[in-house]
Amino acid sequence: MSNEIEIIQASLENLDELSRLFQNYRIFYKKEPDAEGEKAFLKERITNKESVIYLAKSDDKFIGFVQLFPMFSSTRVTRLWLLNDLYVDKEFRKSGAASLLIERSKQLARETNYAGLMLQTAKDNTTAQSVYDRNEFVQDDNFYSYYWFNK
Amino acid sequence: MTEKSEIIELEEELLPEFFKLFHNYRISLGLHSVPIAEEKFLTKRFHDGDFTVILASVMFNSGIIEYREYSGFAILYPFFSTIQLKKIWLLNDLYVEKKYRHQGIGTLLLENCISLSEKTDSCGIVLETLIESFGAKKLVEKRGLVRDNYTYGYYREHKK
Repeated sequence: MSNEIEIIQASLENLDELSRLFQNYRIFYKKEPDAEGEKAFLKERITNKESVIYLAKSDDKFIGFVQLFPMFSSTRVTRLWLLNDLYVDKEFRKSGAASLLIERSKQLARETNYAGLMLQTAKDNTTAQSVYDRNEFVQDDNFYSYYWFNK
Repeated sequence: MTEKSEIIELEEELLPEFFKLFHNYRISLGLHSVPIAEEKFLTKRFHDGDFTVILASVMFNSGIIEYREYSGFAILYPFFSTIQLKKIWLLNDLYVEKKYRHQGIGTLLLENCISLSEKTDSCGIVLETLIESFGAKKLVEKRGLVRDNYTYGYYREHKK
């Protein structure tokens, strides 16, 4: 049985459903659920148009999302979308929803005339890597990432 | 003659100085430099408030005359950490002119980036550095930035 999956851009109307998916996503990254903080965070991004979020919908159920932030590349003198978050509910992992969300993200890059998409993923997350490989992403071995966190 | 390093946030009238540094930066990376495209790109970022740029300058004072030269810059883009639920700064570019290297200007710029991230209620800074760029690696490790061995970077450029 395969249901049609539809991709829509998230708005404040979908905030509750989006927040639920976002919480599951953060739990995957071993973060304590923070329903209020998560919802406020998403509401702010949508209201201030600081990110673009797409939702995957199967029948009437929201099953995944992708969040993109506008970024810039000085070396290429161009704009890129940072594909920061991608999540699909466990029971829908093999549904093709992730690829559809990525396809919609590529479409966003074309529509906005950005040069492309960039992202980071954990080295041990081979599932995610195979999704990106399948979707024509190139792994970049030329950079080290560094972080500095405020206490 | 005295010399004093100062950090200044980019302002409209400093754009031509910034363009010059950015041009040299791209050449130092071995990139083909197109000044018109660079200036258009940077002017747009500046007017749309997309980034924060800090400039390093050196003030010379001979006792009779005083003049300023620009020695480097750092470009920071704000975005958000969905793990921390807070703003985070991407330190995208850090550059010091050749003749001003090994004088602590890179460290000064980096320290100012860190204090900017503290002042703006963000959770920190993230940056990527080319593996071959050992100067940058040493500098950021010295200032307490932690290397991330945990993630892979990916990118995809769409075909026009």
